[in-house]
Amino acid sequence: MLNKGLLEKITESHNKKKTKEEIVIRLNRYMIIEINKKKYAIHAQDVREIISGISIFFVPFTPPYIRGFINRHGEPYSVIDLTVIFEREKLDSSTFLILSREDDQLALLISDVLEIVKLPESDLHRITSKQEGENYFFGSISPKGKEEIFVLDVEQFLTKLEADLGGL
Amino acid sequence: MEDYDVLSEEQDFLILSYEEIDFFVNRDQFSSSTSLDDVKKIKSSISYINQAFKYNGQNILLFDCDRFLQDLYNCSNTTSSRLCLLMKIHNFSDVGKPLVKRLLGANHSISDEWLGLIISSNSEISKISINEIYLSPLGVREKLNNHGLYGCRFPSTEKIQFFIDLEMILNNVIKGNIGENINC
Repeated sequence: MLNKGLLEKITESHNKKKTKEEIVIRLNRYMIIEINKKKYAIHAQDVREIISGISIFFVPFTPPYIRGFINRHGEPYSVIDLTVIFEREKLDSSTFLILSREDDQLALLISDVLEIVKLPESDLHRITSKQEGENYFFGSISPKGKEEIFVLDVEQFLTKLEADLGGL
Repeated sequence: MEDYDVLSEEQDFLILSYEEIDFFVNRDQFSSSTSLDDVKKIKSSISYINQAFKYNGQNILLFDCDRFLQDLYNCSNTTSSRLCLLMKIHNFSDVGKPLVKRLLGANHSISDEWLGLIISSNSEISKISINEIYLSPLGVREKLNNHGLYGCRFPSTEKIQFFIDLEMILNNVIKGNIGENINC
């Protein structure tokens, strides 16, 4: 084989590899969770750990959706209760998703973890017309082709917390 | 080696125990403690600062820290007996000193040298390792620091101990900045 042909084959082989990598990257893993009988999804890479059966310790001077601190291996984590934001009532549960964040120690109060699904990124139906102040979701997915499950955008809750703390 | 020494360093704290939670306070924030005798109500518009008591011939203004903590943290006392912590105004920070001086200066019969804090008698001085104390999570840290809550430790899975700053709490009470959670 001439060098020209060899070079083409080398280039082609790298391109194929790249395409394979791109397909892998474009697959998103979602954790499907239940909060107060409603299903939500969260990007699996945003979750570090699931903890169950521990107490929440009330902390003053925070908005009502910060239910307090939990003890994660001796370290305090702030607990966000989304039902307080969405439904104005407190969730009765002791299951927590420890979020994987470098900038804060945060946990979500949830009812249960249902499953983890892998879907192509194109299966995320993005919300295009976001209302200011209520954009808590990236969009929705429908893993089994039936029900639409909203995908939580954790960053938006942090933005809300920052704004609310400034006003308290 | 030096880093290890800092981490294992111990400090004296006063631990205030309640049924569900405890609080701990840097021992250097107060001078001494005494029993509470001859407590009288005084006219005051500031919540939790409406009593005084006689100590060494002086009228000392009292901040009811015990009641404040119970109201704010929804916790209950394990005993009805109470003590008084004495804080020397001279040792207050440059921010807190003028605020307290102004408060004490408004009433000439009150000592402008000392301030008393009513606490639960269920308290003891104990050594705590610095490395057992955690600052509050970053998202809420600044807010809580401003209200005199710096962090916590977990002595067991079912108990939390909050690290509080008495002077900062007092400053906020004087300014009327005591939060929405208060049940009074």
